[in-house]
Amino acid sequence: MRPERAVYPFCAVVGRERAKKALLLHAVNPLLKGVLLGGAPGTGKTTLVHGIAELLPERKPVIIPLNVDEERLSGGRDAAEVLRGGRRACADGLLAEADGRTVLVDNAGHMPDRLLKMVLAASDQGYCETWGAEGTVCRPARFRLFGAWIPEEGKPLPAAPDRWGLYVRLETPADRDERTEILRRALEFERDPDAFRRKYAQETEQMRSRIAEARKRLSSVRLPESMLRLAAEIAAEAGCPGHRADILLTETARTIAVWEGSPEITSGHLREAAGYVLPHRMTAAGDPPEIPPGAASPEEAERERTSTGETGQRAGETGGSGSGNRPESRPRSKQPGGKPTDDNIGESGQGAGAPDGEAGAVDARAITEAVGREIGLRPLAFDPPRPMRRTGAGKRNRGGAGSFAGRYVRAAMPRGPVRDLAFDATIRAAAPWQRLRRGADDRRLAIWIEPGDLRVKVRESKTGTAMLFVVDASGSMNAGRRMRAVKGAILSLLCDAYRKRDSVGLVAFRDKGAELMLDMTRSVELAERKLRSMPVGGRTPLPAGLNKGWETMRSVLLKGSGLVPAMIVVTDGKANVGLTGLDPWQESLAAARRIAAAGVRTLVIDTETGFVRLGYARKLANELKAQYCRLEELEAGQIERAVRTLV
Amino acid sequence: MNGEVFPFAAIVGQERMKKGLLLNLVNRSLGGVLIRGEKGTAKSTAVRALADLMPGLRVVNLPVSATEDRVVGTLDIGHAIREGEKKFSPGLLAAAHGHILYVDEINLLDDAIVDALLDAAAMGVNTVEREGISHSHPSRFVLIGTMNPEEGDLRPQLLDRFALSVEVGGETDAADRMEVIRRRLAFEADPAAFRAKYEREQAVLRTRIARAQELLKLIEPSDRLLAWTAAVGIKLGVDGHRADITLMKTAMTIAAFEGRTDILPEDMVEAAMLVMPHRMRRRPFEEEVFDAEAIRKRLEDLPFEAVHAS
Repeated sequence: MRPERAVYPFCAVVGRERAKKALLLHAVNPLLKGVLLGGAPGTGKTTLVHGIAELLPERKPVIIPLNVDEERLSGGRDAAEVLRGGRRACADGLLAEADGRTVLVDNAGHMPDRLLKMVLAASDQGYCETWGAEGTVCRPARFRLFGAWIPEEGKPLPAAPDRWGLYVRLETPADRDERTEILRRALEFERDPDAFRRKYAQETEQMRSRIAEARKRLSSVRLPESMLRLAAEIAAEAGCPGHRADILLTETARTIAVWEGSPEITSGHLREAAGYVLPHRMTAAGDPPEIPPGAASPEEAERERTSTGETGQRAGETGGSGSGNRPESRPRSKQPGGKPTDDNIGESGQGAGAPDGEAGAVDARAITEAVGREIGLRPLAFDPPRPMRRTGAGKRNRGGAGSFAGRYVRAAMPRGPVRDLAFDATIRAAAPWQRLRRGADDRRLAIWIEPGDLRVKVRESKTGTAMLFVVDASGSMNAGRRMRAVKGAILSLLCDAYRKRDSVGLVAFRDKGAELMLDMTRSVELAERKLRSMPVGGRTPLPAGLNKGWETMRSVLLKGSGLVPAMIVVTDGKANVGLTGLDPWQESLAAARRIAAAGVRTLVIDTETGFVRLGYARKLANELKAQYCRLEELEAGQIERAVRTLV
Repeated sequence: MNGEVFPFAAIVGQERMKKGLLLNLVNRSLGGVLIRGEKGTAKSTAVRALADLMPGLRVVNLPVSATEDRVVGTLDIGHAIREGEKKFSPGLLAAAHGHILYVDEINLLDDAIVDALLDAAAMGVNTVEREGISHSHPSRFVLIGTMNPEEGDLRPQLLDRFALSVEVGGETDAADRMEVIRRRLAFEADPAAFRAKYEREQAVLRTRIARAQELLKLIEPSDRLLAWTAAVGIKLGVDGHRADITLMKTAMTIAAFEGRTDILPEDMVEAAMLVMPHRMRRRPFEEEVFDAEAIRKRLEDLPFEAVHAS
């Protein structure tokens, strides 16, 4: 077996034209602040990221693995030096080591937030702060950043998506010839990597010199005043805060111009740049999160505002296939042909060569709308549940690892008994004193550790949410449809529960009482089986439902699973069966107050329809201190998105 | 030690699991097997028996309780204290290099460990940047995992890393069940004698694997097969390209295991049934069950010959 696996040549990647272009642009221009590739597993993200790194003249790339800890990332005391010399010495972290090189983050979605933020901050600022002999010092950390991320695996990209310069989403191509070619080359590479690499050696060399050439010419490209204005307009239209997007747009457009050998930036270049710079940034601008009662949901507003957005997004996605079968409904801004470019790369064929005299005619809005949003829509505001006080750091680990579960991110002084000792940090803390301590004692200890040196590991593990649906299954007009929507939501939530360690459960109430139909589980199979048939009909014992829900939640809390409880109540609030013969509505409110007092986060989904509305569910939501929305605002698959914002 | 391993050739039934395991022995770069099923279906026995077939091949066990340090490796504390210098103390990913990494109940694994597995699997290299250590070493292994689907699912990224998946259940046939017990008792009564009894069969299996490894080098998939494979991937709507690649490699390995250098349609169907079920998207409330039969049916609409014609 080879010691290091050979890298699949960048030039041998089939299709993926937009992704390749974005990576090449950053290869040329270090100021583009990183390229993030998003896509399902096996769409070639890793191959591309390692491929581009190999193409660059810079030294070996710095690979940041998921096991990285804070000290290694940002730098700190040099343990070896400290141990040997018994004096304080500092070591650079990966970020400082990366200065002038390339940084690869292959699994950005799974990196702990604070560590990823450190990487992105360094990429943004060009320096990082590290521990020096005399406290913190700034070390240069100018690097090109290439990252990969799997959007399907969970929530919006952690750590400020807009910190990444360019974003490209990869889709699995549906074109058979393209897939056949991908398959052929993959097998060929695997059989004999060296021969395969030789086959592409010439192309690789050409690409290298094209990059080198473009780097030289980067500063020579002219930026007409009109284009500067257009860039600002586009960024404003997209609702990007600050000036980061404007600058990135022009910088990206400049690099595109250089790459294509154009002497100045045109609207076509800006248009193409927008496709890389805006998709993940438009989200960050954010909608007003709260939904005023009765207003259209942001989802709908969204749909209206970017009515062409979807096609634009599709164009962005399929553009990567390079097959030229672009959807027709592109924004029709005035584009006089544009001279044909070398290939049908993404949007460049559309108007990279448009003369800038037309600039005024190019509508910033059309460009923005063509891009469409990519990441993390937030249809409903739902404050994240407060983490409950937990008994142990990671008790949820069933394997019996006790509090040792999770990732060791850094060391800290112990508070309370020392259990999870961080040896490395302890030794580093003790080292400077060795000479001094030995001087005072003649015991021949290899290393003298005193209680004050002890450091414990700070571990970070993801906390899942226990989401309990409490659903009205009584016989109102659309009970069947309602149950279907809820079942769909539960299964969808579970489909990515492995990622977030979430559990989902269901309490249904109808006729005479409430029943726990599905105990908290992470299994899709189990949920599917249990929920296959769910009876509906009868009267509405709302108080019983709420009580059963509370009981279930409480047992989740008592188990100390570390899960954060959240409850989703689906009802119209028209209680007509009580517990004790008292007024069912008053009983419901009392139950609601009890739940609110326990601090369980709740979302009420109101199912009331028709002209005359009594608004009971709204009142219930008030008592529960719950977020509130109406089912009709959340049709078809949107329930789980609403609930997801809970997490 | 070897004397106590139940011989692979003596395992009753579980044909698909055995096939999946053996294919990974023929082609070590295939990408492992995920075994789905209840407890007590002889999964561990089979994995140990598999390694026993190949001299020098080890099973490295990754327990669910393993910590990240144990898996990726960590600072050698003893060395640091004695010698005053940093040294890397290798973890399970280093031990598993070139061997079998076995994870029982892989769906219960801590996220950090899954991340470590995925990181290593991506480039076949384990990169460690922690506790003042900066180290990387090759880490390529045959990943074998087991899970009980009722106890939660696997992250799709990890699921996609498994080349094959098989479902196991207890034997339902009474005669087979009796045979399982009979052999188990015979083995426990006298392991050495039991192993001796199966030595011939084991040797035959070894020869067959060795020969298949030679044949595999000679198999060159035709354009037609490549196109058909891509068409299967598109038809079944799987994400990414690993499915296509694995399907082709599995079919090649099956052909080699059967002693052939040409790939037959039934090899492709058998490969698809091992490669596809865990990669197909589950959609809530679709009554359709994605089992092997469903895949076979769908493939029937995609005739082998038609691909050639187009």
